Amino acid sequence: MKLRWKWLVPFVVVGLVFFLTGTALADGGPHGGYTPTTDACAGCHRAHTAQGANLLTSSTTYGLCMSCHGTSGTGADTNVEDGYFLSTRSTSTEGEANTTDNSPLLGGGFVNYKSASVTSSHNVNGGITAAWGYGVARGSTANLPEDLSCASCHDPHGSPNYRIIKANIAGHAVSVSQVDESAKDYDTEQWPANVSNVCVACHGAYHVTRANSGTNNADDGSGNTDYGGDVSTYAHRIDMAYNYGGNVNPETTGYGGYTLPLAGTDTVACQTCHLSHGTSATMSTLATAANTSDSALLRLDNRGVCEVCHQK
Amino acid sequence: MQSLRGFPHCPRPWGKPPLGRGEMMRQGWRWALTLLLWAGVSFGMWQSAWADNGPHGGYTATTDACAGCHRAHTAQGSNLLVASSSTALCLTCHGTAGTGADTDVMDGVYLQRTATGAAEGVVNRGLKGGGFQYARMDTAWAGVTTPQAVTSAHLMDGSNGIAWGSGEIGSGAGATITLACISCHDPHGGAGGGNSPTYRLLRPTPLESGGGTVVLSDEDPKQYTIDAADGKYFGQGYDSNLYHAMASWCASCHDRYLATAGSGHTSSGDGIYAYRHISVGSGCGCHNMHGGPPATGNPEYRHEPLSCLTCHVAHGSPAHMGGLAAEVPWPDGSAAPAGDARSALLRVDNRGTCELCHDK
Repeated sequence: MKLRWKWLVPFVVVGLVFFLTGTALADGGPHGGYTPTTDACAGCHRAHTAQGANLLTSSTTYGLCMSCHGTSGTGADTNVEDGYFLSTRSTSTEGEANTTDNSPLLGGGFVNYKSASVTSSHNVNGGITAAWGYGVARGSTANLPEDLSCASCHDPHGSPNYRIIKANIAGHAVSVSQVDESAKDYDTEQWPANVSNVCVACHGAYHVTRANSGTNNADDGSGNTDYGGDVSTYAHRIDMAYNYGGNVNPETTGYGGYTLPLAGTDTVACQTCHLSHGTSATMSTLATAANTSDSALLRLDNRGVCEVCHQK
Repeated sequence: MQSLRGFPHCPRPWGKPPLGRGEMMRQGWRWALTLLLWAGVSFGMWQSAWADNGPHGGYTATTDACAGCHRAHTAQGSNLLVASSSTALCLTCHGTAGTGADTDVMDGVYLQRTATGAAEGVVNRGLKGGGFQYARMDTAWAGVTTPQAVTSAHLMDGSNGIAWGSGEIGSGAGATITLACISCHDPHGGAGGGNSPTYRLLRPTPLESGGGTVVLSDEDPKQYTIDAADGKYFGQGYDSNLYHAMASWCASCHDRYLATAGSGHTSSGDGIYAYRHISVGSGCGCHNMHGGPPATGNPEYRHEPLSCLTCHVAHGSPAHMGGLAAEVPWPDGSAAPAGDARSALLRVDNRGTCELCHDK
């Protein structure tokens, strides 16, 4: 009798894998998962009456994205201009189960963040092409292949990556594992350990992953080229365990009521200190003296991101 | 009446002795029969290849065809028609209850309801143009070939409608015109100049189109039904010359919809029809502009020539529009009617015509 049912096991396993995979790979809204009779194209494109290149309904990519995700957008609950989530903005229920209304988005905002004007942001409204450390030494810029827009980092047609991050950015293959696609969470990080990869595509020289990079700027000869071969300066190590050097857990312990998110359970990623879209953090006195007066998309005022971990 | 019997004796040119009277008559009959047979076969073939069908053209001096549609003294409609309107007349043969043609354009199906002529389509299969009331079109891409009520169709009853995109750049959404069957089709055939037939009797200059001349060569042999037995209209093949010329013909009324490769990246300068999907030429033109074939795209279709007919049918479609596809505003900005009424004679539900090519 037992043997009679054993043949079902592989089918059950395959079925479960298929179900789980299907759930895990779903892109939100009109962004991917298209059937042969999808209606989604009509959300952004017109075949004969388009107002922008690529047959867009808006004259710019930014304008199109903001028609849903902007301050007055009604097509998505994620208001990326003002950097918060509000379930009543659209009919979509994406992320509502795990995201608190009016909570700040994980990526920050392009215009406002936490009810204050942003002090630095990625300028995705066209015209900006220079990126720090894009194939050049840290502290220098080089031009990207195209003007920066939302579509420089996100693939509106869906992608295998977290938050429809493009599989190729500025000529670099990008892999960022999907971790919360079965129940999206827009205000509490559930990043994969490789979330820094999205930043590396344009800022490769800043992605220094070898140990002791803060005290030894020499090429370690290991063939590690994550940092673009840049040995011009010393750099904070990235994609490292938070407890290197005995630091406390910045996500669960923090300092003075401030915390910083980790990728996975213990990885310090680019996003641990920086917001992807924009920040309203303010810089004063010494914090304004380093190279620029802007806030470099940092999560906390001044050098709060240092102190939460190092607690000097 | 002169007969061969009265022919004089003739010397044979190659020096043989002259034929006798009886032998000469036999030879003459042979030649005459051969000549008649040759002429008959040639005429038959020519008719089959180039004739306009039925009573539509190819008239002789003693034709009976006029009586099919006209009465000299007892007509019921203007232009001495036997019906009250031109469209009503067309439907006496081509309508649901018509008995004069195998092409039932109201139900969008080819039937075996006339006794004459060779089959020019597959019986009970959908017509290439769809239908004005029903169509056997698997717009859901689900293997359904049963008749479905159309959700959008070209007007054909003599009423007024907007010819979207008609006119010059900057001339607004389009002009209002009157549309009937005869706006596009010339019932007297021979529309191609010199009494030559055109594809589906189409006029080189549709009525009220505002000018322009596009002569569409007739097909040989005629084939009124789609190739696909499963009712999938997308991917239907056409002769490439006809295909491209057809786009220009459609643009007789829908001028600003005619767009070549690159029109999706370059503004036409029009306020409404600014960036436009290619509607004539080949998708390869787009690919070449970007340095080669795209990484995505359905290989089954992406190298096919493009025309208006790639995505749309000429008569009517039962395609359903839901979600975002149901809310697309009309070119003049109006929102109503919405829903299925926005199906725009498309061959597949929603934006299937996009996805089946672009495979996003």
